[in-house]
Amino acid sequence: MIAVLGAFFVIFACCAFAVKKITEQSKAIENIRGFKQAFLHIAKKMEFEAEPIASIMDKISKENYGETAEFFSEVSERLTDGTNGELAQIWNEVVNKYTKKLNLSPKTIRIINNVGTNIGKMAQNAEIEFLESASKELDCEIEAAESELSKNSKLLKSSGILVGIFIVIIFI
Amino acid sequence: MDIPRIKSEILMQLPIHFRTILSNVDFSSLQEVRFRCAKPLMIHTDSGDMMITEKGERAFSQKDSYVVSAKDLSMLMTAFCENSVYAYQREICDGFLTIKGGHRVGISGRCVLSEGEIINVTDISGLNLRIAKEFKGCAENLLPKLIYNNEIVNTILISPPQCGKTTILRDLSRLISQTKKVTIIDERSELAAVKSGVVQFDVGIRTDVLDRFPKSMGMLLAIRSLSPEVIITDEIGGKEDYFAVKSVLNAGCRTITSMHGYDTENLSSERKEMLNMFDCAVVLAKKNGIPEIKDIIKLAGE
Repeated sequence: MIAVLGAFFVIFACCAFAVKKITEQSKAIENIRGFKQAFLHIAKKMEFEAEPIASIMDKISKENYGETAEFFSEVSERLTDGTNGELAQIWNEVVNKYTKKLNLSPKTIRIINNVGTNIGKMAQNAEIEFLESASKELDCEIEAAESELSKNSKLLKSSGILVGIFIVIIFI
Repeated sequence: MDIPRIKSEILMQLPIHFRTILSNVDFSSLQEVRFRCAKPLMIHTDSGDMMITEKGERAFSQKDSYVVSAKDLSMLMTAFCENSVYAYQREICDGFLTIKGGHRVGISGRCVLSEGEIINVTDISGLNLRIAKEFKGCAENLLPKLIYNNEIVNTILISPPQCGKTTILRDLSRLISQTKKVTIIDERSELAAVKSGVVQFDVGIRTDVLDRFPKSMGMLLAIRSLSPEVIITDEIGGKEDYFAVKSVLNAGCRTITSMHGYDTENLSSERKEMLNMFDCAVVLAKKNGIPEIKDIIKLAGE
């Protein structure tokens, strides 16, 4: 009886691990989507309000962009903390801090860092075009991550069960 | 004048490095801070120019002074633009920025033209930070001279730069708005220095501010929607301004504005024509370095 329960437990644990991995991947997709929407929102605010970047980021952080809201909130706070730091440096530091938490791929990080390095230094039209092109790049990332997720989810679930069974067999 | 407030307001907008240097400077007589690439950091006070050392003390020779680098200028520009060049694009093309507190930063650099219009200023070679100071009561003696039959007369202030045109306009607004509705068209955010909707200078309780509106558009919009009794604006010059002032006068509204010049005689024919619209010209000048009212001239008026 204990052996059967143990076997079920091991299979369940392996499946749970697989599900956790899948959830992490879908969360990462949500975060990329959050950045994409935020970039488009920043572009619109630049176009129609021409407000300074810190104030735009503050407003963005109060909108619903999931976990990315925290990221924008921190950038905004650091831009207005009275040290007058450069946006590019602050942005990169905050990206590094949030990389693990937001579970972003190196390519996505490169796109996001590129935005931080360049925005705020150009004319309005150039800023808007740049942000729109960054959003398109993030779109490609979302597509790639989604197709990977659908591939991986089946693989992870079945391999979770298989690994579980395998461990049970070894123990028995 | 609240010197400690002005000092902290300016220092907070500077990169930390310059904050340290300028924190030792006496702000009570400070008029300008000059940042020129590869040149000594200089300040302009009531008693003249002086070079500044890295410790913020007076430098008596060029080699003791702090030399401003291109990187310094880039950092200063980033700080003054709040990391948002796009938000200050129009001002940059006009050659200056107005920062929090109404202080003005003049820009020198390389001009980028497109179809005859300035679209950007790059390779910044110098910045001139001009300190805006509020002298409450400086127009108290002038105002009674601008009233006829209980009405404000259409007035133009004429003076070279740094003779207090903006300061007097600001105080006139404060005084007039004690009894009349005033609208300020603040194209450069200097008169009222609005920041996030909050007026930084005391321009009076019955004063509406149209911030960063082009003067001509702002004047017409104010007549249509704000029913002002007096419109105050700074530095008119172009043809559009001429027509806008004319529309304001035709609408029965009073105008007080300013113009660069030394007197009513030595002006271009276009500007002389503009003067015909006003009832009164107030000429300002500096005497022994102190701005004062040189002359009040009755004009034809329309």
